[in-house]
Amino acid sequence: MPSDANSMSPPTGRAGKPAVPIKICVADDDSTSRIMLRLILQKWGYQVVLCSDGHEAFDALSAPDGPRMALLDWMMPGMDGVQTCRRIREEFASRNYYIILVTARAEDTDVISALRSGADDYVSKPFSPTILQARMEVGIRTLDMQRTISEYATRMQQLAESRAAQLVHADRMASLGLLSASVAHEINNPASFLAVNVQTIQDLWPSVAASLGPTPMETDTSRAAALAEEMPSILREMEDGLSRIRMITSELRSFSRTGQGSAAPLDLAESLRKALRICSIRLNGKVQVATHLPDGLPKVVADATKLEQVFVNLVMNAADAMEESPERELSISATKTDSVIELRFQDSGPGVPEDKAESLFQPFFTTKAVGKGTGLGLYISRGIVEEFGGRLFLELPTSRGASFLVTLPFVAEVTP
Amino acid sequence: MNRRLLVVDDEAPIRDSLARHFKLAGIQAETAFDGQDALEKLAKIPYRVVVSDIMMPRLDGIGLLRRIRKEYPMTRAVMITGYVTLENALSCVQMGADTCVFKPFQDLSELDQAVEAAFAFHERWEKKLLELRGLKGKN
Repeated sequence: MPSDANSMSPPTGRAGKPAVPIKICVADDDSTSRIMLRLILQKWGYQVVLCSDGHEAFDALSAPDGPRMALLDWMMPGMDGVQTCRRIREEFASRNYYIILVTARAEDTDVISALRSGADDYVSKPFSPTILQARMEVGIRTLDMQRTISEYATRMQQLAESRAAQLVHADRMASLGLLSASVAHEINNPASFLAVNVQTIQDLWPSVAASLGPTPMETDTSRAAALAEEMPSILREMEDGLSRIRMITSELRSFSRTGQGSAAPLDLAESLRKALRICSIRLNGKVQVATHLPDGLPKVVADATKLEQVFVNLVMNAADAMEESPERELSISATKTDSVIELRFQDSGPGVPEDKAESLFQPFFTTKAVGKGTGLGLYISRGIVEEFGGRLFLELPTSRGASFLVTLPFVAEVTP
Repeated sequence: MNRRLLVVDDEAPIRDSLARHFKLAGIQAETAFDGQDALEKLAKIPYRVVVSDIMMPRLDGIGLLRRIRKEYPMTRAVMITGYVTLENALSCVQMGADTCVFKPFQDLSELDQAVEAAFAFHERWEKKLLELRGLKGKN
Protein backbone atom coordinates (compact mmCIF):
# COMPACT_ATOMS: atom_id res chain seq x y z
CA MET A 1 0.00 0.00 0.00
CA PRO A 2 1.58 3.25 -1.07
CA SER A 3 0.62 5.33 1.93
CA ASP A 4 2.10 2.71 4.22
CA ALA A 5 5.16 2.31 2.11
CA ASN A 6 5.69 6.06 1.89
CA SER A 7 5.60 6.47 5.62
CA MET A 8 8.77 4.42 5.77
CA SER A 9 11.93 6.32 5.00
CA PRO A 10 15.49 5.46 4.19
CA PRO A 11 17.21 3.65 7.04
CA THR A 12 19.23 5.61 9.53
CA GLY A 13 22.91 5.88 9.02
CA ARG A 14 24.99 3.95 11.50
CA ALA A 15 25.28 6.89 13.85
CA GLY A 16 23.24 9.59 12.18
CA LYS A 17 19.60 10.56 12.18
CA PRO A 18 17.14 9.32 9.54
CA ALA A 19 16.89 11.76 6.63
CA VAL A 20 13.12 12.01 7.09
CA PRO A 21 11.88 11.47 10.65
CA ILE A 22 10.42 7.99 11.12
CA LYS A 23 7.28 7.82 13.20
CA ILE A 24 7.39 5.54 16.18
CA CYS A 25 4.68 4.70 18.68
CA VAL A 26 5.85 4.48 22.29
CA ALA A 27 3.35 3.00 24.73
CA ASP A 28 4.08 2.89 28.45
CA ASP A 29 1.78 3.48 31.39
CA ASP A 30 4.68 4.86 33.39
CA SER A 31 5.03 8.52 32.52
CA THR A 32 8.72 8.74 33.52
CA SER A 33 9.71 5.90 31.22
CA ARG A 34 7.61 7.44 28.42
CA ILE A 35 9.31 10.80 28.68
CA MET A 36 12.76 9.26 28.97
CA LEU A 37 12.18 7.22 25.83
CA ARG A 38 10.84 10.20 23.96
CA LEU A 39 13.95 12.22 24.76
CA ILE A 40 16.26 9.48 23.54
CA LEU A 41 14.25 8.72 20.42
CA GLN A 42 13.89 12.35 19.42
CA LYS A 43 17.63 12.76 19.79
CA TRP A 44 18.02 9.87 17.34
CA GLY A 45 15.74 11.68 14.94
CA TYR A 46 12.45 9.77 15.35
CA GLN A 47 9.05 11.41 15.45
CA VAL A 48 7.51 9.99 18.60
CA VAL A 49 3.81 9.33 19.22
CA LEU A 50 3.35 8.81 22.97
CA CYS A 51 0.60 6.56 24.32
CA SER A 52 -0.22 5.70 27.89
CA ASP A 53 -1.91 2.33 27.30
CA GLY A 54 -2.64 -0.37 24.79
CA HIS A 55 -5.88 1.13 23.48
CA GLU A 56 -4.22 4.43 22.67
CA ALA A 57 -1.36 2.59 21.01
CA PHE A 58 -3.78 0.53 18.94
CA ASP A 59 -5.61 3.65 17.77
CA ALA A 60 -2.34 5.38 16.88
CA LEU A 61 -1.04 2.36 14.96
CA SER A 62 -4.27 1.68 13.14
CA ALA A 63 -4.46 5.19 11.64
CA PRO A 64 -3.71 5.01 7.89
CA ASP A 65 -0.71 7.30 8.18
CA GLY A 66 0.13 6.18 11.74
CA PRO A 67 3.52 4.83 12.83
CA ARG A 68 4.69 1.51 11.50
CA MET A 69 7.19 1.00 14.31
CA ALA A 70 6.20 0.52 17.90
CA LEU A 71 7.84 0.14 21.28
CA LEU A 72 5.17 -1.41 23.49
CA ASP A 73 5.55 -1.94 27.18
CA TRP A 74 4.26 -5.38 28.10
CA MET A 75 2.64 -4.55 31.44
CA MET A 76 -0.04 -1.93 30.91
CA PRO A 77 -3.55 -1.62 32.35
CA GLY A 78 -6.50 -2.38 30.05
CA MET A 79 -4.90 -3.89 26.99
CA ASP A 80 -1.30 -4.93 27.60
CA GLY A 81 1.55 -4.91 25.06
CA VAL A 82 1.12 -8.52 23.98
CA GLN A 83 -2.63 -8.10 23.46
CA THR A 84 -2.09 -4.88 21.53
CA CYS A 85 0.46 -6.59 19.34
CA ARG A 86 -1.85 -9.55 18.67
CA ARG A 87 -4.78 -7.29 17.77
CA ILE A 88 -2.70 -5.22 15.38
CA ARG A 89 -1.51 -8.38 13.63
CA GLU A 90 -5.04 -9.77 13.44
CA GLU A 91 -6.72 -6.64 12.15
CA PHE A 92 -4.00 -5.33 9.85
CA ALA A 93 -2.50 -8.53 8.51
CA SER A 94 -1.71 -6.90 5.18
CA ARG A 95 0.24 -4.00 6.70
CA ASN A 96 3.87 -4.21 7.70
CA TYR A 97 4.60 -3.27 11.29
CA TYR A 98 7.77 -3.67 13.31
CA ILE A 99 6.84 -4.12 16.94
CA ILE A 100 9.32 -4.32 19.80
CA LEU A 101 8.00 -5.39 23.20
CA VAL A 102 9.63 -3.85 26.23
CA THR A 103 9.52 -6.09 29.24
CA ALA A 104 10.91 -6.69 32.64
CA ARG A 105 9.93 -10.35 32.26
CA ALA A 106 12.82 -12.23 30.82
CA GLU A 107 11.98 -15.87 31.35
CA ASP A 108 12.24 -18.02 28.21
CA THR A 109 8.50 -18.64 28.27
CA ASP A 110 7.88 -14.88 28.29
CA VAL A 111 10.13 -14.38 25.29
CA ILE A 112 8.30 -17.14 23.48
CA SER A 113 4.84 -15.76 24.19
CA ALA A 114 5.98 -12.24 23.22
CA LEU A 115 7.26 -13.42 19.84
CA ARG A 116 4.24 -15.66 19.27
CA SER A 117 1.88 -12.74 19.82
CA GLY A 118 3.40 -11.23 16.69
CA ALA A 119 6.19 -9.10 18.16
CA ASP A 120 9.26 -8.84 15.97
CA ASP A 121 11.67 -8.33 18.83
CA TYR A 122 11.83 -7.61 22.52
CA VAL A 123 14.14 -5.71 24.86
CA SER A 124 14.38 -6.41 28.56
CA LYS A 125 14.30 -3.66 31.10
CA PRO A 126 16.61 -2.18 32.05
CA PHE A 127 18.10 -1.82 28.58
CA SER A 128 21.09 0.00 27.22
CA PRO A 129 20.11 2.77 24.78
CA THR A 130 22.72 1.67 22.23
CA ILE A 131 21.25 -1.83 22.09
CA LEU A 132 17.78 -0.36 21.61
CA GLN A 133 19.13 1.86 18.83
CA ALA A 134 20.76 -1.09 17.05
CA ARG A 135 17.59 -3.16 17.32
CA MET A 136 15.49 -0.34 15.92
CA GLU A 137 17.85 -0.12 12.99
CA VAL A 138 17.14 -3.80 12.37
CA GLY A 139 13.46 -2.89 12.40
CA ILE A 140 13.93 -0.16 9.80
CA ARG A 141 15.89 -2.53 7.57
CA THR A 142 13.18 -5.15 7.90
CA LEU A 143 10.40 -2.69 7.07
CA ASP A 144 12.38 -1.49 4.04
CA MET A 145 12.80 -5.02 2.78
CA GLN A 146 9.13 -5.77 3.30
CA ARG A 147 8.21 -2.67 1.37
CA THR A 148 10.48 -3.65 -1.50
CA ILE A 149 9.05 -7.15 -1.55
CA SER A 150 5.48 -5.96 -1.56
CA GLU A 151 6.27 -3.56 -4.39
CA TYR A 152 7.73 -6.44 -6.37
CA ALA A 153 4.74 -8.59 -5.54
CA THR A 154 2.37 -5.90 -6.78
CA ARG A 155 4.38 -5.51 -9.97
CA MET A 156 4.48 -9.28 -10.54
CA GLN A 157 0.76 -9.50 -10.04
CA GLN A 158 0.14 -6.73 -12.57
CA LEU A 159 2.44 -8.49 -14.99
CA ALA A 160 0.68 -11.81 -14.46
CA GLU A 161 -2.70 -10.17 -15.03
CA SER A 162 -1.60 -8.52 -18.25
CA ARG A 163 0.00 -11.76 -19.48
CA ALA A 164 -3.22 -13.64 -18.70
CA ALA A 165 -5.18 -11.13 -20.76
CA GLN A 166 -2.71 -11.54 -23.64
CA LEU A 167 -3.08 -15.31 -23.40
CA VAL A 168 -6.84 -15.07 -23.72
CA HIS A 169 -6.38 -13.01 -26.85
CA ALA A 170 -3.74 -15.40 -28.20
CA ASP A 171 -6.18 -18.26 -27.78
CA ARG A 172 -8.83 -16.37 -29.74
CA MET A 173 -6.30 -15.75 -32.50
CA ALA A 174 -5.36 -19.43 -32.49
CA SER A 175 -9.02 -20.40 -32.86
CA LEU A 176 -9.33 -17.99 -35.77
CA GLY A 177 -6.23 -19.52 -37.38
CA LEU A 178 -7.75 -22.98 -37.10
CA LEU A 179 -10.99 -21.62 -38.53
CA SER A 180 -9.42 -19.69 -41.39
CA ALA A 181 -10.42 -22.25 -44.04
CA SER A 182 -14.02 -21.98 -42.97
CA VAL A 183 -13.84 -18.20 -42.91
CA ALA A 184 -12.51 -18.25 -46.47
CA HIS A 185 -15.41 -20.44 -47.51
CA GLU A 186 -17.92 -18.21 -45.78
CA ILE A 187 -16.66 -15.31 -47.88
CA ASN A 188 -16.32 -17.41 -51.03
CA ASN A 189 -20.01 -17.94 -51.53
CA PRO A 190 -21.17 -14.32 -51.46
CA ALA A 191 -18.07 -13.35 -53.47
CA SER A 192 -19.11 -15.95 -56.05
CA PHE A 193 -22.58 -14.69 -56.70
CA LEU A 194 -21.33 -11.12 -56.67
CA ALA A 195 -18.89 -12.14 -59.40
CA VAL A 196 -21.58 -13.87 -61.46
CA ASN A 197 -23.83 -10.85 -61.28
CA VAL A 198 -21.07 -8.43 -62.17
CA GLN A 199 -20.34 -10.61 -65.19
CA THR A 200 -24.00 -10.61 -66.20
CA ILE A 201 -24.11 -6.84 -66.11
CA GLN A 202 -20.85 -6.62 -68.03
CA ASP A 203 -22.14 -9.01 -70.69
CA LEU A 204 -25.37 -7.11 -71.16
CA TRP A 205 -24.14 -3.57 -70.79
CA PRO A 206 -22.97 -3.11 -74.43
CA SER A 207 -26.51 -3.93 -75.61
CA VAL A 208 -28.01 -1.55 -73.09
CA ALA A 209 -25.61 1.21 -74.13
CA ALA A 210 -26.34 0.53 -77.81
CA SER A 211 -30.10 0.45 -77.30
CA LEU A 212 -29.89 3.87 -75.70
CA GLY A 213 -27.98 5.21 -78.70
CA PRO A 214 -29.43 6.94 -81.74
CA THR A 215 -29.95 3.79 -83.86
CA PRO A 216 -30.73 0.86 -81.64
CA MET A 217 -30.81 -2.54 -83.31
CA GLU A 218 -33.48 -5.02 -82.44
CA THR A 219 -31.07 -7.46 -80.75
CA ASP A 220 -29.82 -4.64 -78.53
CA THR A 221 -33.27 -3.72 -77.32
CA SER A 222 -34.27 -7.28 -76.51
CA ARG A 223 -31.09 -7.89 -74.49
CA ALA A 224 -31.51 -4.51 -72.80
CA ALA A 225 -35.04 -5.52 -71.88
CA ALA A 226 -33.72 -8.78 -70.44
CA LEU A 227 -31.31 -6.88 -68.23
CA ALA A 228 -34.00 -4.42 -67.18
CA GLU A 229 -36.16 -7.33 -66.15
CA GLU A 230 -33.42 -9.10 -64.25
CA MET A 231 -31.88 -6.01 -62.69
CA PRO A 232 -33.96 -5.99 -59.45
CA SER A 233 -32.94 -9.61 -58.70
CA ILE A 234 -29.34 -8.91 -59.61
CA LEU A 235 -29.19 -5.90 -57.33
CA ARG A 236 -30.93 -7.73 -54.51
CA GLU A 237 -28.44 -10.58 -54.72
CA MET A 238 -25.49 -8.26 -54.84
CA GLU A 239 -26.75 -6.39 -51.83
CA ASP A 240 -27.28 -9.67 -50.02
CA GLY A 241 -23.74 -10.76 -50.89
CA LEU A 242 -22.22 -7.54 -49.64
CA SER A 243 -24.15 -7.59 -46.40
CA ARG A 244 -23.07 -11.18 -45.78
CA ILE A 245 -19.43 -10.31 -46.32
CA ARG A 246 -19.83 -7.30 -44.08
CA MET A 247 -21.38 -9.43 -41.36
CA ILE A 248 -18.56 -11.97 -41.54
CA THR A 249 -15.87 -9.32 -41.30
CA SER A 250 -17.59 -7.57 -38.44
CA GLU A 251 -17.96 -10.84 -36.53
CA LEU A 252 -14.31 -11.62 -37.10
CA ARG A 253 -13.32 -8.16 -36.03
CA SER A 254 -15.26 -8.38 -32.82
CA PHE A 255 -13.93 -11.86 -32.13
CA SER A 256 -10.34 -10.75 -32.63
CA ARG A 257 -10.79 -7.58 -30.61
CA THR A 258 -8.08 -6.99 -28.01
CA GLY A 259 -8.31 -5.30 -24.68
CA GLN A 260 -10.66 -5.62 -21.80
CA GLY A 261 -14.23 -6.03 -22.80
CA SER A 262 -16.87 -5.16 -20.32
CA ALA A 263 -19.31 -7.49 -18.69
CA ALA A 264 -22.92 -6.72 -19.45
CA PRO A 265 -26.19 -8.64 -19.35
CA LEU A 266 -26.39 -10.74 -22.48
CA ASP A 267 -28.52 -13.36 -24.14
CA LEU A 268 -26.90 -16.81 -24.08
CA ALA A 269 -28.80 -17.95 -27.15
CA GLU A 270 -27.43 -15.03 -29.13
CA SER A 271 -23.84 -15.68 -28.01
CA LEU A 272 -24.19 -19.33 -28.86
CA ARG A 273 -25.65 -18.52 -32.28
CA LYS A 274 -22.68 -16.28 -33.09
CA ALA A 275 -20.18 -18.89 -31.90
CA LEU A 276 -21.86 -21.53 -34.05
CA ARG A 277 -21.71 -19.19 -37.03
CA ILE A 278 -17.97 -18.77 -36.53
CA CYS A 279 -17.61 -22.57 -36.42
CA SER A 280 -20.18 -23.23 -39.11
CA ILE A 281 -17.98 -24.54 -41.89
CA ARG A 282 -15.88 -26.59 -39.51
CA LEU A 283 -19.14 -28.31 -38.59
CA ASN A 284 -20.91 -28.19 -41.92
CA GLY A 285 -21.95 -31.59 -43.14
CA LYS A 286 -19.64 -33.27 -40.64
CA VAL A 287 -21.31 -32.62 -37.32
CA GLN A 288 -25.03 -32.47 -36.57
CA VAL A 289 -25.63 -29.74 -34.02
CA ALA A 290 -28.86 -29.77 -32.06
CA THR A 291 -29.53 -26.87 -29.72
CA HIS A 292 -32.20 -27.08 -27.05
CA LEU A 293 -32.56 -23.66 -25.48
CA PRO A 294 -35.81 -22.97 -23.71
CA ASP A 295 -37.46 -19.66 -24.58
CA GLY A 296 -37.17 -16.79 -22.16
CA LEU A 297 -33.91 -17.79 -20.51
CA PRO A 298 -32.81 -15.00 -18.19
CA LYS A 299 -29.68 -13.08 -19.18
CA VAL A 300 -26.23 -13.69 -17.76
CA VAL A 301 -23.62 -11.05 -17.03
CA ALA A 302 -20.46 -11.62 -19.07
CA ASP A 303 -18.26 -10.18 -21.76
CA ALA A 304 -19.86 -11.22 -25.04
CA THR A 305 -16.62 -11.78 -26.97
CA LYS A 306 -15.05 -13.85 -24.22
CA LEU A 307 -18.14 -15.99 -23.80
CA GLU A 308 -18.25 -16.64 -27.56
CA GLN A 309 -14.63 -17.68 -27.28
CA VAL A 310 -15.60 -20.26 -24.64
CA PHE A 311 -18.39 -21.60 -26.86
CA VAL A 312 -16.14 -21.71 -29.95
CA ASN A 313 -13.58 -23.68 -27.94
CA LEU A 314 -16.15 -26.18 -26.69
CA VAL A 315 -17.72 -26.64 -30.14
CA MET A 316 -14.36 -27.04 -31.90
CA ASN A 317 -13.21 -29.52 -29.25
CA ALA A 318 -16.35 -31.56 -29.75
CA ALA A 319 -15.89 -31.52 -33.54
CA ASP A 320 -12.25 -32.59 -33.18
CA ALA A 321 -13.13 -35.33 -30.69
CA MET A 322 -15.74 -36.78 -33.07
CA GLU A 323 -13.50 -36.74 -36.13
CA GLU A 324 -13.23 -40.56 -36.20
CA SER A 325 -16.68 -41.30 -34.82
CA PRO A 326 -19.30 -42.95 -37.00
CA GLU A 327 -21.98 -40.65 -35.58
CA ARG A 328 -21.10 -37.03 -35.10
CA GLU A 329 -23.70 -35.26 -33.03
CA LEU A 330 -23.30 -32.31 -30.73
CA SER A 331 -26.18 -31.48 -28.47
CA ILE A 332 -26.20 -28.12 -26.73
CA SER A 333 -28.90 -27.69 -24.13
CA ALA A 334 -29.67 -25.15 -21.47
CA THR A 335 -31.52 -25.57 -18.21
CA LYS A 336 -32.27 -23.07 -15.50
CA THR A 337 -31.75 -23.98 -11.85
CA ASP A 338 -32.41 -21.84 -8.78
CA SER A 339 -29.31 -19.74 -9.18
CA VAL A 340 -27.58 -20.57 -12.45
CA ILE A 341 -28.11 -21.44 -16.08
CA GLU A 342 -26.51 -24.73 -17.00
CA LEU A 343 -25.32 -25.06 -20.57
CA ARG A 344 -24.42 -28.62 -21.53
CA PHE A 345 -22.24 -29.51 -24.53
CA GLN A 346 -22.68 -33.22 -25.13
CA ASP A 347 -20.89 -34.91 -28.03
CA SER A 348 -21.00 -38.42 -29.44
CA GLY A 349 -17.24 -38.89 -29.53
CA PRO A 350 -15.15 -41.42 -27.64
CA GLY A 351 -15.42 -39.44 -24.38
CA VAL A 352 -12.71 -38.64 -21.86
CA PRO A 353 -11.14 -41.20 -19.51
CA GLU A 354 -11.92 -40.34 -15.90
CA ASP A 355 -8.27 -39.85 -14.95
CA LYS A 356 -7.90 -37.19 -17.65
CA ALA A 357 -10.93 -35.19 -16.54
CA GLU A 358 -8.88 -32.58 -14.69
CA SER A 359 -5.75 -32.65 -16.87
CA LEU A 360 -7.92 -31.30 -19.68
CA PHE A 361 -8.07 -27.99 -17.88
CA GLN A 362 -4.31 -27.74 -17.35
CA PRO A 363 -2.47 -25.30 -19.61
CA PHE A 364 -0.78 -26.87 -22.64
CA PHE A 365 -2.55 -30.19 -22.18
CA THR A 366 -3.67 -31.35 -25.60
CA THR A 367 -4.64 -34.59 -27.25
CA LYS A 368 -4.61 -32.98 -30.68
CA ALA A 369 -1.90 -33.20 -33.31
CA VAL A 370 0.76 -30.51 -33.51
CA GLY A 371 -0.73 -27.43 -35.14
CA LYS A 372 -4.30 -28.50 -34.37
CA GLY A 373 -4.56 -27.16 -30.88
CA THR A 374 -2.71 -24.98 -28.43
CA GLY A 375 -3.65 -26.88 -25.29
CA LEU A 376 -4.88 -23.61 -23.88
CA GLY A 377 -8.52 -23.66 -24.94
CA LEU A 378 -10.11 -25.29 -21.93
CA TYR A 379 -7.69 -23.71 -19.48
CA ILE A 380 -8.55 -20.25 -20.78
CA SER A 381 -12.23 -21.04 -21.15
CA ARG A 382 -12.46 -22.10 -17.52
CA GLY A 383 -10.72 -18.87 -16.50
CA ILE A 384 -13.24 -16.85 -18.50
CA VAL A 385 -16.26 -18.64 -17.08
CA GLU A 386 -14.92 -18.27 -13.53
CA GLU A 387 -14.29 -14.58 -14.16
CA PHE A 388 -18.05 -14.21 -14.55
CA GLY A 389 -18.84 -16.23 -11.44
CA GLY A 390 -19.52 -19.50 -13.23
CA ARG A 391 -17.96 -22.93 -13.54
CA LEU A 392 -16.77 -25.08 -16.41
CA PHE A 393 -16.15 -28.78 -15.93
CA LEU A 394 -16.43 -32.21 -17.45
CA GLU A 395 -19.41 -34.19 -16.24
CA LEU A 396 -18.66 -37.67 -14.96
CA PRO A 397 -19.58 -40.34 -15.62
CA THR A 398 -21.22 -40.04 -18.99
CA SER A 399 -23.08 -42.71 -20.89
CA ARG A 400 -21.72 -41.62 -24.26
CA GLY A 401 -19.19 -39.08 -25.48
CA ALA A 402 -18.01 -36.18 -23.42
CA SER A 403 -20.25 -33.72 -21.69
CA PHE A 404 -18.97 -30.30 -20.70
CA LEU A 405 -21.04 -28.18 -18.41
CA VAL A 406 -20.91 -24.40 -18.23
CA THR A 407 -22.81 -22.81 -15.38
CA LEU A 408 -23.34 -19.07 -15.16
CA PRO A 409 -25.32 -17.11 -12.59
CA PHE A 410 -28.25 -15.34 -14.20
CA VAL A 411 -29.57 -11.85 -13.71
CA ALA A 412 -32.68 -11.74 -11.57
CA GLU A 413 -35.74 -10.78 -13.57
CA VAL A 414 -36.94 -7.30 -12.80
CA THR A 415 -40.65 -7.66 -12.25
CA PRO A 416 -42.60 -4.44 -12.67
CA MET B 1 -30.48 -28.91 -80.47
CA ASN B 2 -31.57 -28.90 -76.81
CA ARG B 3 -29.26 -27.13 -74.40
CA ARG B 4 -30.68 -28.05 -71.02
CA LEU B 5 -28.56 -27.45 -67.95
CA LEU B 6 -29.17 -27.96 -64.24
CA VAL B 7 -27.49 -25.73 -61.65
CA VAL B 8 -27.23 -27.41 -58.24
CA ASP B 9 -26.28 -25.34 -55.20
CA ASP B 10 -27.71 -25.04 -51.71
CA GLU B 11 -27.06 -21.28 -51.80
CA ALA B 12 -30.06 -19.70 -53.52
CA PRO B 13 -28.26 -16.56 -54.76
CA ILE B 14 -25.52 -18.67 -56.35
CA ARG B 15 -27.82 -21.02 -58.21
CA ASP B 16 -30.12 -18.18 -59.25
CA SER B 17 -27.36 -15.90 -60.51
CA LEU B 18 -25.72 -18.77 -62.38
CA ALA B 19 -29.01 -19.85 -63.92
CA ARG B 20 -29.65 -16.27 -65.03
CA HIS B 21 -26.18 -16.08 -66.51
CA PHE B 22 -26.69 -19.28 -68.52
CA LYS B 23 -30.19 -18.30 -69.63
CA LEU B 24 -28.89 -15.04 -71.03
CA ALA B 25 -26.36 -17.11 -72.97
CA GLY B 26 -29.25 -18.99 -74.58
CA ILE B 27 -29.09 -22.08 -72.39
CA GLN B 28 -32.21 -23.58 -70.81
CA ALA B 29 -30.97 -23.43 -67.24
CA GLU B 30 -32.91 -24.71 -64.27
CA THR B 31 -31.99 -25.12 -60.61
CA ALA B 32 -31.93 -27.70 -57.82
CA PHE B 33 -31.16 -26.96 -54.19
CA ASP B 34 -29.14 -30.07 -53.34
CA GLY B 35 -28.03 -33.44 -54.72
CA GLN B 36 -31.26 -35.18 -53.81
CA ASP B 37 -33.36 -32.50 -55.49
CA ALA B 38 -31.10 -32.73 -58.55
CA LEU B 39 -31.68 -36.51 -58.82
CA GLU B 40 -35.43 -35.99 -58.67
CA LYS B 41 -35.22 -33.40 -61.45
CA LEU B 42 -32.92 -35.59 -63.53
CA ALA B 43 -35.45 -38.40 -63.30
CA LYS B 44 -37.99 -36.18 -65.08
CA ILE B 45 -35.77 -34.39 -67.59
CA PRO B 46 -32.52 -35.70 -69.02
CA TYR B 47 -30.37 -32.63 -68.49
CA ARG B 48 -27.32 -32.71 -70.70
CA VAL B 49 -25.11 -30.75 -68.33
CA VAL B 50 -25.15 -30.50 -64.55
CA VAL B 51 -23.22 -27.71 -62.84
CA SER B 52 -23.02 -28.66 -59.18
CA ASP B 53 -21.58 -27.41 -55.91
CA ILE B 54 -19.82 -30.03 -53.76
CA MET B 55 -20.72 -29.20 -50.17
CA MET B 56 -24.46 -29.57 -49.79
CA PRO B 57 -26.82 -31.12 -47.25
CA ARG B 58 -28.58 -34.46 -47.78
CA LEU B 59 -26.70 -35.53 -50.92
CA ASP B 60 -23.45 -33.71 -51.64
CA GLY B 61 -21.89 -33.04 -55.04
CA ILE B 62 -19.63 -36.10 -54.97
CA GLY B 63 -22.57 -38.34 -54.15
CA LEU B 64 -24.61 -36.75 -56.93
CA LEU B 65 -21.72 -37.23 -59.35
CA ARG B 66 -21.49 -40.91 -58.46
CA ARG B 67 -25.21 -41.41 -59.16
CA ILE B 68 -25.03 -39.47 -62.44
CA ARG B 69 -22.14 -41.61 -63.71
CA LYS B 70 -24.09 -44.75 -62.88
CA GLU B 71 -27.59 -43.74 -63.97
CA TYR B 72 -27.10 -41.00 -66.58
CA PRO B 73 -23.84 -41.83 -68.38
CA MET B 74 -24.44 -39.23 -71.09
CA THR B 75 -24.92 -36.34 -68.67
CA ARG B 76 -21.82 -34.17 -68.32
CA ALA B 77 -20.92 -32.79 -64.91
CA VAL B 78 -19.03 -29.61 -64.10
CA MET B 79 -18.26 -29.21 -60.42
CA ILE B 80 -17.79 -25.94 -58.56
CA THR B 81 -16.41 -25.72 -55.06
CA GLY B 82 -15.47 -23.08 -52.56
CA TYR B 83 -14.06 -25.62 -50.17
CA VAL B 84 -10.98 -26.43 -52.19
CA THR B 85 -9.24 -29.55 -50.96
CA LEU B 86 -7.14 -32.12 -52.76
CA GLU B 87 -9.59 -34.74 -51.54
CA ASN B 88 -12.51 -32.95 -53.22
CA ALA B 89 -10.61 -32.45 -56.46
CA LEU B 90 -9.44 -36.08 -56.57
CA SER B 91 -12.98 -37.31 -55.95
CA CYS B 92 -14.14 -35.20 -58.90
CA VAL B 93 -11.48 -36.76 -61.10
CA GLN B 94 -12.28 -40.30 -59.98
CA MET B 95 -16.00 -39.80 -60.47
CA GLY B 96 -15.42 -38.51 -63.98
CA ALA B 97 -16.35 -34.85 -63.65
CA ASP B 98 -15.45 -32.74 -66.70
CA THR B 99 -13.70 -30.23 -64.49
CA CYS B 100 -13.76 -28.62 -61.11
CA VAL B 101 -14.04 -24.83 -60.95
CA PHE B 102 -12.97 -23.13 -57.74
CA LYS B 103 -15.02 -20.44 -56.10
CA PRO B 104 -14.86 -17.50 -55.91
CA PHE B 105 -14.88 -17.09 -59.71
CA GLN B 106 -12.35 -14.64 -61.11
CA ASP B 107 -14.63 -14.39 -64.10
CA LEU B 108 -16.96 -16.95 -65.59
CA SER B 109 -14.83 -17.85 -68.60
CA GLU B 110 -13.55 -21.11 -67.10
CA LEU B 111 -17.06 -22.20 -66.22
CA ASP B 112 -18.47 -21.04 -69.56
CA GLN B 113 -15.79 -22.93 -71.47
CA ALA B 114 -16.45 -26.09 -69.45
CA VAL B 115 -20.18 -25.82 -70.11
CA GLU B 116 -19.66 -25.11 -73.82
CA ALA B 117 -17.31 -28.09 -74.07
CA ALA B 118 -19.92 -30.27 -72.39
CA PHE B 119 -22.60 -29.23 -74.86
CA ALA B 120 -20.11 -29.66 -77.72
CA PHE B 121 -19.58 -33.24 -76.55
CA HIS B 122 -23.30 -33.87 -76.89
CA GLU B 123 -23.47 -32.17 -80.27
CA ARG B 124 -20.64 -34.32 -81.64
CA TRP B 125 -22.35 -37.51 -80.58
CA GLU B 126 -25.70 -36.34 -81.78
CA LYS B 127 -24.23 -35.68 -85.21
CA LYS B 128 -22.58 -39.10 -85.26
CA LEU B 129 -25.76 -40.83 -84.20
CA LEU B 130 -27.77 -38.93 -86.82
CA GLU B 131 -25.29 -39.96 -89.48
CA LEU B 132 -25.55 -43.60 -88.41
CA ARG B 133 -29.31 -43.45 -88.38
CA GLY B 134 -29.26 -41.88 -91.84
CA LEU B 135 -27.05 -44.70 -93.16
CA LYS B 136 -29.28 -47.29 -91.62
CA GLY B 137 -32.32 -45.71 -93.30
CA LYS B 138 -30.66 -45.83 -96.71
CA ASN B 139 -29.57 -49.43 -96.46
